[in-house]
Amino acid sequence: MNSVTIGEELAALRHRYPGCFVVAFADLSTGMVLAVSTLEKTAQEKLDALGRTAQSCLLGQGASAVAQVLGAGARNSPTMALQAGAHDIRCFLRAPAPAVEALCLVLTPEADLDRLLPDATEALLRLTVEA
Amino acid sequence: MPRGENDDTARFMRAIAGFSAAPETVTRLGRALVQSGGALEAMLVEINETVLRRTLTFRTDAGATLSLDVSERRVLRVVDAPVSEDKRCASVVKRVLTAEDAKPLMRLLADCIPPDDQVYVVSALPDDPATAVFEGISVRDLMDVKAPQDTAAELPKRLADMVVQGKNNMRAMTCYADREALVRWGQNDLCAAADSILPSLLPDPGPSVTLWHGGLREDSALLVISTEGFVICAFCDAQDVSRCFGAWQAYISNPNHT
Repeated sequence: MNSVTIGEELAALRHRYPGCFVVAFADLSTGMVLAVSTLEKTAQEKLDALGRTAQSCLLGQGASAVAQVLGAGARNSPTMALQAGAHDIRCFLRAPAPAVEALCLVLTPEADLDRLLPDATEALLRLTVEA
Repeated sequence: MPRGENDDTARFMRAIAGFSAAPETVTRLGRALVQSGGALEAMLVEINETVLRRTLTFRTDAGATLSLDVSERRVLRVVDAPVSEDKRCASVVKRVLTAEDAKPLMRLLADCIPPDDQVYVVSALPDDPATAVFEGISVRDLMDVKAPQDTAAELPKRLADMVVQGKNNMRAMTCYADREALVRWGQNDLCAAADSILPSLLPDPGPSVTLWHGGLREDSALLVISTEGFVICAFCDAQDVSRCFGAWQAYISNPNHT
C-alpha cells in the first residue's frame, strides 16, 4: 500500500464520523506522524505533539506501569488509550506487536466511541498488515 | 453469669450512666454524644473513655445502629453492623479484630454513621466471656487512620458526588491528593495496583481523564482522572469503558466543576 492509499484509508475513517477532525497514522518508536487526514488545516507542531502524546500514552513509562497492572507485562503496552481534555478527546490505538504503528484520532466530546473504536481498530489492522 | 443477673446489672449500669450524664443528654436512644468534631470523632472519644469491657451501641435519629465490643480503650469486635457493600468493611464484623483491621473498621464506622448526625450511645455488659485484652484495635491506631468520610469531605462536593456515583460502576477506585490516598474503595489488589503506578504517571496540568485498555486483563480498563489538584485511579469493566469515560469526560469539560 502506498502513502496515498494510507491517506485514503485515514480520510475514509474520518468522513464516517462527523465528530472526528484528525486521523493520524504514527510510528510509536519515534513518535512521528507518518500520514494524516484532518478536517481543517492543522499546524505541524500540533501533529508532532499528537505523535509524542501517542508515544507517551502507549509506550512511555506510565504506559509500561499501566501494562503491568492490566496484565500485559512490562515489555508490552496497553492496546488503547483514550485521553479527554476540557474540549476534545484523543484516542490512541496500538497495532498488534511486532508492529510499532498507532492510529491517533482527535474527536469532539460528542463522538460516538462505541461505534468508532471497533471501526478504527479494523482500519488500523488493514493499514499495518499492508504496510 | 446467669441471664437475670446480667440483665439486672445492665439495667443498673444504664441507670448509673443516666445519673452520671447531664439529664438533657439522656434520651430514649441513649446518651447523646458531644460532637464538636463530628460523629466519628465522638465515637472514638467514647471508645477511648471505655476501660472496663462493655458493648457500646451507637445509634442515630435516622435509625443507624452499630454495636462494638470495647475494653481497655480497644475495639475487640464489631458485634452488629448494617450490611456493608464494601467487602473489606463487611469482613471485620463479628470476629476478633487486630491492628490490621483499623482501616476497614474506620471505613465501616464512617459508612454506618453519617458525619453530621447526632449519635447516641448505650453502654451494656457484653453477653459472651471476656476476650484477652491484647486483642482488638486501640483508639490510637484508629486515630492514625484517616477516616474516609472526613477525607472525602476535603473533596469539592461535585467531585465527591462523582466518586460516590463511581462506586456503582467501578471495581476499585482510589482518590489521591498530593499522592496521598484520601479515599479507597473496591478490590484490594486493584487499589494496591493503583498505588504502584501512581509514581509513573506524569502530573497533568489541566483537567483530564485518560483511559487505558489492553493486556491479559481484557475485562478491565484503567481510568486516571486529574482534576482540581486530585488524581483518581479507577478500574472499570471493559464493557463499561464508554460510559465511565464519558461520565468523567462530561465532568471535566464542564467549566463549573469547581
